Amino acid sequence: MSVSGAILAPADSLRSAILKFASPWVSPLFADRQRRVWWLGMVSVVSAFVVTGLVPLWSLALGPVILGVPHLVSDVRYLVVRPKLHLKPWLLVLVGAPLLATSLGAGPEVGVLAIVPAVFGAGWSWRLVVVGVVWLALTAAAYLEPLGFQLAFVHAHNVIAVMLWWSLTSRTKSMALVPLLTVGGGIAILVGALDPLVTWSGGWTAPWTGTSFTEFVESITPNLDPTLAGRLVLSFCFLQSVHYAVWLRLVPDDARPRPAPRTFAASWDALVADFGLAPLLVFVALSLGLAVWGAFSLPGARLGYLQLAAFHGYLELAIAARWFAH
Amino acid sequence: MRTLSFAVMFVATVALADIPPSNSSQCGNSQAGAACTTDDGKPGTCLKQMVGRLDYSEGVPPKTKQVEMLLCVASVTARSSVTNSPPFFAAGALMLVMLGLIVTKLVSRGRRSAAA
Repeated sequence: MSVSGAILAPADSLRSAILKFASPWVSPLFADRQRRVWWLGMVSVVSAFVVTGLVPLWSLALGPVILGVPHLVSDVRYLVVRPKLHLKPWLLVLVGAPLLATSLGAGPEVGVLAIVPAVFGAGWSWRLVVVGVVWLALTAAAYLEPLGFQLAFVHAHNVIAVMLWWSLTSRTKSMALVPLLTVGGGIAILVGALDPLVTWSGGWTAPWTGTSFTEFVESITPNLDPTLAGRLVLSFCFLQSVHYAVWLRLVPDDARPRPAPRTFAASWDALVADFGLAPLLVFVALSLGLAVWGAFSLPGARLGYLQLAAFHGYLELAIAARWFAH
Repeated sequence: MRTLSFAVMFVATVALADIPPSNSSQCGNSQAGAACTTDDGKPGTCLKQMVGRLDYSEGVPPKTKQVEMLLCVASVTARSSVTNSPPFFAAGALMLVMLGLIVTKLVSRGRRSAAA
């Protein structure tokens, strides 16, 4: 048995024992991939809604610190590594350069530049024209209103992930309930449906997180009506949770070659096969480092992560454009 | 006008939510008396000031309350030692190095598997 297998064996044994015990009830839920992805998606969206209503500030503070790096790994894995885009050096350099520049502080017009090389190789079609027009519009908006563009993109990129998953999954009517429920949840939050729950739970404040609604309003929803701004922060919290669920649960389940769930050890082995051991250990170290940083300064760790992750929204946008154009 | 938010287009006539008080960004993690640079680039000192901020602690709509904050006050004698965003640059540089290593690794793995 490998070292990773030995480390993960207790977790796999525990999961196996739980599944064996609950088999009569949960087998139908897990056996079929489509059914599993559907209910996991529905539960994820409902959980995100409830968590947003009960502990929004904790979700906003802890989410990026705990789930941020794993979701970036999944992002790169399913958008770049699995489609073997990393084996095209010219694509890697031309798309990667603007993405890295954004993590070094370049403006959003540089980030959206990644769309152009991403669609190289697509045949001439109306889809390519649409991508070109969208890129021009985004570039103009990013250049004329960089702050407004970045704020809008911070909110919108959470939805791009749902759209990417939708293009991967089996697009049945029942599966459509997942994105519909996401959109419905976002709208419900914006019209105030969660306000009473947040007030009841005392979720408007969480001093231990080292942050406040005021700070989130100032950073991600400034210059808006104060009530709408507060609800937009809640909506961001909800969509961010859904975004994480998409990359960490739904996309991996849909993209897995074998339809049945696999053990933790098998999941680790698959990650090693995709990335190699050394990069994976870097990712693990980055996750643990962020968690330790968060233990000392949650706001600091969150801001550090957000700067590191600045590229991934543009990566999702560029790959979405590539998939659409091809 | 570049800082005008996209949202103003949609809600131009309603009361606007708070934005960070002017000259507050560089004093956020500093102590009173620390050197700083004002929003318009002048050297200054972090000093305690009373400012009005929105308070969401009782839900929406928020109330406004006066709070004490460290603001960068321009000073003729103060010399700024604060750069624009060193932690962000450091984080970006770190990422650049790590991603470079990872990409190199992935490409070499790809070549090996293609050769095999």
